[in-house]
Amino acid sequence: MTNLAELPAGHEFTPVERRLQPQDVHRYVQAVQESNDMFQEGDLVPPAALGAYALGIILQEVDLPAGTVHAAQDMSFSGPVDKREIIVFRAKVAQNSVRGGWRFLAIDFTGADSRDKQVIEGRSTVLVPEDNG
Amino acid sequence: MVEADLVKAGDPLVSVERTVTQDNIGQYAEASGDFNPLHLDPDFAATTHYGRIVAHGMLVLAYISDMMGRSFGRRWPESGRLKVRFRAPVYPGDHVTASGEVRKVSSEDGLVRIDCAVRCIRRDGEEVINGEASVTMPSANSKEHKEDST
Repeated sequence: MTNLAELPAGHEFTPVERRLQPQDVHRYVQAVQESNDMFQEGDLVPPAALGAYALGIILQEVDLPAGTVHAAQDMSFSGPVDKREIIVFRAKVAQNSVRGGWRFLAIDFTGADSRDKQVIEGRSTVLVPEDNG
Repeated sequence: MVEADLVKAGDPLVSVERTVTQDNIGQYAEASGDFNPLHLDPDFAATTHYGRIVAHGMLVLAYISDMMGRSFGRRWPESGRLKVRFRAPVYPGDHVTASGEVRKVSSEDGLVRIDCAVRCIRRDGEEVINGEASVTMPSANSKEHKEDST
């Protein structure tokens, strides 16, 4: 885990490879009550699942306190992505600043498939109570 | 799949209604790897300013993704863009409606970009997520569209 105050803008996290499995995607589909057949019955991963996986990986790297608020989310998709695809996620700190008692932390991420084609990019912005940062 | 050239500003998207359960939240934690106790531990959640368990924002955001997939089919995972802010919490038992409408349709080089306003609203009327989403589709007259149709 990395302490928030030690994360300068530009800091790059170690890339993480995630091998998708249909049963894992199914669990996501169940959780979010996804209704599109192409994701429920077909071979494709709901695109927002890729964002969820990226954020999950970021959370394993950054020690975010429980009072953290997810403030904003951007995502762009260039799929489709198969449920057995291997995705390499990369993440970088875009902003880490303190204002008004809150730490603003923005992390940019990308995901590329096994042919090195980028299938998702995005930015997660979280607000962390500064006395926890 | 929707025909890009038939889409016009003001058209509503295919809305999605869901009730968020604690089971959904637990499943989402397992699926995403986000085990923040705010979402899972009622005793911990009671000590926060929310006072009780809150659903993951990304879980609720998935309803907007669902709506975009229902509205635009494969163009959503192939070309979708989403930019939102989380405005208010969603609690277990809350009923949420994802809705939206086309704001702008623009064409360039045989492609049609469809920009939409999107949101999630709790049953009590509070907007919990809002923002914008878009897809890019080939124009009905484009070579790519004709190849897709064959």
